[in-house]
Amino acid sequence: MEEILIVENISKHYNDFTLKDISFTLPKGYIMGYIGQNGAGKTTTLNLITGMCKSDSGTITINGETCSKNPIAYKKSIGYIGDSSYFPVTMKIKEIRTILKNFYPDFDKDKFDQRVSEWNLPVNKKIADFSRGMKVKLMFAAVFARDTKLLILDEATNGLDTVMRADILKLLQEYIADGERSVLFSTHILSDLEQIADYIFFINDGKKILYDMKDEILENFLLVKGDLNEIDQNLTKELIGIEKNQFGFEAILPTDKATLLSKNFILEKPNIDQIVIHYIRDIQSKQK
Amino acid sequence: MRALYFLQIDRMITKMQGHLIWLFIMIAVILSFAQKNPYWGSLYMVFGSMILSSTPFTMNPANTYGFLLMLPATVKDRVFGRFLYGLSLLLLTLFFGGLGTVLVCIVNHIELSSMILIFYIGVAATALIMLSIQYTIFYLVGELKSQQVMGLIRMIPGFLLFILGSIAMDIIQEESNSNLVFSFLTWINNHLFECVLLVFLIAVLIFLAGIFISVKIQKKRDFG
Amino acid sequence: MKILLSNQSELPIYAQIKEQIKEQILNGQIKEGEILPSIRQLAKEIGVSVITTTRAYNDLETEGFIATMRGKGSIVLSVENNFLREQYLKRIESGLMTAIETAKVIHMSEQELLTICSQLWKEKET
Repeated sequence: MEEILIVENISKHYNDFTLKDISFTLPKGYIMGYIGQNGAGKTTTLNLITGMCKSDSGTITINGETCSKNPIAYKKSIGYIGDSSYFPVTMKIKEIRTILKNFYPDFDKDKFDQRVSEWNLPVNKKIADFSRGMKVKLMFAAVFARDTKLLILDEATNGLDTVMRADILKLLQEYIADGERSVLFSTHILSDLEQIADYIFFINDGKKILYDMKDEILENFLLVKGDLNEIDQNLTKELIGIEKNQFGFEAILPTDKATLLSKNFILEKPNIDQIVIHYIRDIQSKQK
Repeated sequence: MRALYFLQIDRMITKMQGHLIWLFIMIAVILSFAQKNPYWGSLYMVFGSMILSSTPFTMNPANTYGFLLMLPATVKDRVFGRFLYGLSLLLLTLFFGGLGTVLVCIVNHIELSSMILIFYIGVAATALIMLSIQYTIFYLVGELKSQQVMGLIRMIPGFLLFILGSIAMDIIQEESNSNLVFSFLTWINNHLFECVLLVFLIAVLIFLAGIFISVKIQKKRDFG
Repeated sequence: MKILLSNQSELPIYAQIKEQIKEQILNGQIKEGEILPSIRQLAKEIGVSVITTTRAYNDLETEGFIATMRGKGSIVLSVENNFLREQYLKRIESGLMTAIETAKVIHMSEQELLTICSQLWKEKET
């Protein structure tokens, strides 16, 4: 499998936040979900990958190029879509189109125009007067009129209605259909990724928590529910993120530790949301 | 080529002030004719461009410029394009300033002496040098939260140029008053070609140096 | 070919896909020689991840139901074909071995075991 994106030991230190030693790879033709809470380091990581910021250490390669050695080839391969406008607010669509044409030789202005009219984007208004949904759609129109190899979505589906979100997920699957392009999708709306993500990278407080194929992660954990009294010492050590209430508890357990369970527990297949929540609860309780 | 596209982008961003330039032109023309002073044309125009050329620096909130920052280009392209923007404004105002000067001379039957030419070239070169320094300072300072400091960097070169220019105007118009000044100006007059060349070279060198230094500074930055 | 996935099922998604395709091959709804949609096409159509459909197809190939040709897709093999029959024979023998060993542990006779086998066979037919 050829890797389209190789992230090796990147770190970035800010006054109030540090991204520590993040590494992962994304092969051609696959979708990776980059998940975590707000402030966990998702945007920082993506800013490093897009080349907006420079890492303190480590390297990032896209299709064999690094941003410092070849910023033009590097940035040409990336299509970025964020959760809010990144277009200068005083500009109009016509000007954006001109800039796209000037800087991206593969820009297809017909495809762009087609999407603009398909999505009813206002051609005579300034970006400042666009609604949020329109701003995101414009980003999509701009990116999909180009030839990119890596699509990076930074919370791009926040604030979009359900139907539009579903349409976008379909677009993403079409994007990778030829097996040559990949998607890196950061979000905290995990249901979006539940179905279509091939890989998951779960980050918290600047550090890696989980990184594996999504199918593996889902199979490697069980959602355990039961009576508080039924938990013994050995089990407590292995349960992750125990959430207690008056009537019982709920936690995540690695599947290979299932032998520690007696019959009195309810076992379910967890979804990604539940795995994330319990991991975070676990980390929070250990910090106390 | 990409640098020119960045120049175009800067012009798109600073669209609003495009109209201000014409305001300056009108004021300069009116003042020149009112005072019958052929020097005003160039000076006031260039003063205007010195203030307006810093606009791309003062309106630059990073999070609405992600699109521009992600364009496939090198830091050199961006910085060079920015400097070219400043240069383009300067050339524009120099042209109209020069035109205005010539018109005032024609209308008021003033001779287009070499003094006027020397003044004009002096203003042009000084402006280019100041522009280069101002831009480099802007890059050094980066994105400052302090509006006051940004405002200062913005205004000082223009006013400095204006004040220096006014002093120069006075000196020239009273050239008979001082032997030193008179002989200095005569000397320049006699070696006009070499002086122009020298001044031109120095200005261009400083312009290029400014770009070089600014590129070095920007390369190390985030959101550059 | 029909694929209907359930999130409530005990089986993981890849297993559901695998089983449903297998089922349709075995009862002839998918014919021998038919070319299945590619891994990526299928993933896109039913809205699951590529790795999931890859796994389902890989398993089907290991079990002898399909053969994947690079660039041409996956072709359904004959249920009767020797390789597949071999696989099934292996499974039958393995299952029988387990039953025989267990029977020996509790000192059951061969006859008793065969009786149980007939009974179960009849139950399966209904």
